[in-house]
Amino acid sequence: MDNVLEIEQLGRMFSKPKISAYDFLKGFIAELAINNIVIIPRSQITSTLFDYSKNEKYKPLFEDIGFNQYGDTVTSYDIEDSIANLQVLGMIGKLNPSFERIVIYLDKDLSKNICDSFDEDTRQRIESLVRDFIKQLNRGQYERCSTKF
Amino acid sequence: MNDAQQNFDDFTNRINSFVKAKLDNYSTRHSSSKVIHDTVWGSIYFNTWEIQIIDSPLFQRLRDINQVGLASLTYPTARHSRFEHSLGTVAIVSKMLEKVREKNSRACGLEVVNYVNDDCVNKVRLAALVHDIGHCFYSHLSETVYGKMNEFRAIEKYFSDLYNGVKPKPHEILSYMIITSSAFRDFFNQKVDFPNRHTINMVDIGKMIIGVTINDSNGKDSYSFLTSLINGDFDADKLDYVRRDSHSAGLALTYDIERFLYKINIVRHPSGGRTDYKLVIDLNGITAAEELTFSKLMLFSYIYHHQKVLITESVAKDIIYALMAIRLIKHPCDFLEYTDRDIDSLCTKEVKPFPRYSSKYLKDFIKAIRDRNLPKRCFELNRRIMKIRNYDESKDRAKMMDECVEYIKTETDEEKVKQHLEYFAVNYSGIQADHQAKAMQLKEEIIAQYQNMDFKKYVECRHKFYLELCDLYESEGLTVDFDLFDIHIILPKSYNYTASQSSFIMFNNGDLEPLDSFMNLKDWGDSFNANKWRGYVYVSSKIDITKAFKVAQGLFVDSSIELKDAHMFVKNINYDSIRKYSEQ
Repeated sequence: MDNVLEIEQLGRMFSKPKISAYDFLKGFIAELAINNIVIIPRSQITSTLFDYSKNEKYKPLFEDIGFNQYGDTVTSYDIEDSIANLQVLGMIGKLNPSFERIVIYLDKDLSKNICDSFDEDTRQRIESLVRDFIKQLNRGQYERCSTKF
Repeated sequence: MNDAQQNFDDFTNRINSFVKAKLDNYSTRHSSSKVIHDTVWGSIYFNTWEIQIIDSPLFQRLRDINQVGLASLTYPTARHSRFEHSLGTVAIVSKMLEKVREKNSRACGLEVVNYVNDDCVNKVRLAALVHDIGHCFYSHLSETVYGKMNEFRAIEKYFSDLYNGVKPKPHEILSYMIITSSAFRDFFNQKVDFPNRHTINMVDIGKMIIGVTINDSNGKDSYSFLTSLINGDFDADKLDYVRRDSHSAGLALTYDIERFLYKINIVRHPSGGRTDYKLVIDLNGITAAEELTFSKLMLFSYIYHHQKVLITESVAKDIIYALMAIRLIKHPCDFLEYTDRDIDSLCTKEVKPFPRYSSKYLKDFIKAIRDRNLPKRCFELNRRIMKIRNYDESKDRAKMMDECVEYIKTETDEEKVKQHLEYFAVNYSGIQADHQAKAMQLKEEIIAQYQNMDFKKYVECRHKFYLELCDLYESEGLTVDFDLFDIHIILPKSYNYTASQSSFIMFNNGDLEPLDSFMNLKDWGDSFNANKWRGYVYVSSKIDITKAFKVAQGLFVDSSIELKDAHMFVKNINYDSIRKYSEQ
């Protein structure tokens, strides 16, 4: 038995990112919902998040998210997959007919619960990222996003 | 030297030692070009330099790594290996480039045809040939384990920092590291008669494999088509495996390869101050792209997520952890040392890998695969059986309507009213959302809990299931002769349908538009996922399926979710007992 690793020891040979791609996207939309932003353009999400991923402050949020660049096109399977999962789970929807915008279905309480589930450091980083995102929105750098009043 | 650098150096040294050991005594002296017959693409011509690589022990090991892992236990004829697939990828990528050259020499794409010269073709053929050289035993299954090891996580981070956020698949990273290792470069430079060797840069070949665009040294041009051909939405890898996997398994899936080849092209496209040479699909080639996407989706349903394939993989995963527990495998690079056959040959090992939880020997785990003595499905989780409890949507609708009317009455800003109405319209149509979101969150927790579980947690979860099953057995006065390794809980990830994210459609006037915005292949994928996704619980023949079904139901039921007719999806269940259990 001495020659065999215990499950605990085996477990220590593995690690996972501090925040998964899915959890990050969930936190991102929850924080947007808290800030009353409920409809966002879908096409720009990946490239926008790609820009943020290069910022040292936000890097830890993107540990589980990979990006690929083909010329000027940025794609991310992890982001697309997380958005699809959020949709399947009923947290977001996509507006017909061309699905070009994402609708966030979370109410504030649920959003707050989601954000509270993160550790303080992660939560602050997501808050800050969303604040920056909103600033850019206000500067008109994105397509129109709708807010809930 | 910091930890990351030390880990990287250690990793590089290990890869180098592995490659060196495989290539050291290998001689290419008598190699010559060959025509190899392939079941999918027919006769394929290979240059001498390719044969020199193919005949090396480093490449030959791919013969012993099954392309579809252990799916041959479900589809007996799906016994093709990474070796054939690699040769096939070379065949199809050559056809792709041939068609593009033909088309451009007939039309006006002279600059493109100048670039897609023989050197370029050789470069792409080399990348296609070695793109899977980093695969380890059980193909993708083993990478789900070594890809999560601490040393590999650090390497992933290194690649992400080096290449602008890229996250290649674990085997792609190993392929990259193998071909850029000094041992492989020495072999390539000294023993492979590659024409115009000075034109080749192994890092570029690696970039094509891991999905990074190659830029030229003057910073003016980029060649995303090179990467798209090897690691893109409609790459040669996919074109080969969709055909090969379905053909070998005996499935009637196909796509119109001839039409597809006629409809692809490489065009020069301005991109962020550079000119990018892009792989595009002509407007009227969309059908072929659709067929390919659907074939891939169906492959998931037929093969990769087939319930029997999933349980085979789960048993095999126990073998991998067992090899780690007995310290045969200590580092991600150790995985490279074994092929499927090597694992099978460990069938005599009389060592108990998990003595605290199970009296099984390593040979018992391996024998279960060898004899195809696989656990049976006792529970299936799907969208159809998961229902949200007691939900009456009419009340929510009325409440939302009242709130909206109230808002419109009091708000004087017309723009705000418009925006509110838009939000109302969206939410009204998706009225179940709030309730659903809460219930879905629970579903999500259940599913995520099983999907992201590490081995330790998975053992704990199986242990919990085991204890509940023991209680049930003991309450009925029965003897327990099974352990937690007789129980498997599998909730697979959703289907991977990346197609259409980076591809471009070329209109008849030469304009480009992302394929994704033109046709929502991805949304079809989402819908497919929602309807076809399944999770399962399996037990070995030592356990009664009906009793296991009862315990499994308890895993997925709570105050918001109920299960409807779950028994309809399970074979060999005792309905009288189920009735009795529900009365209790």
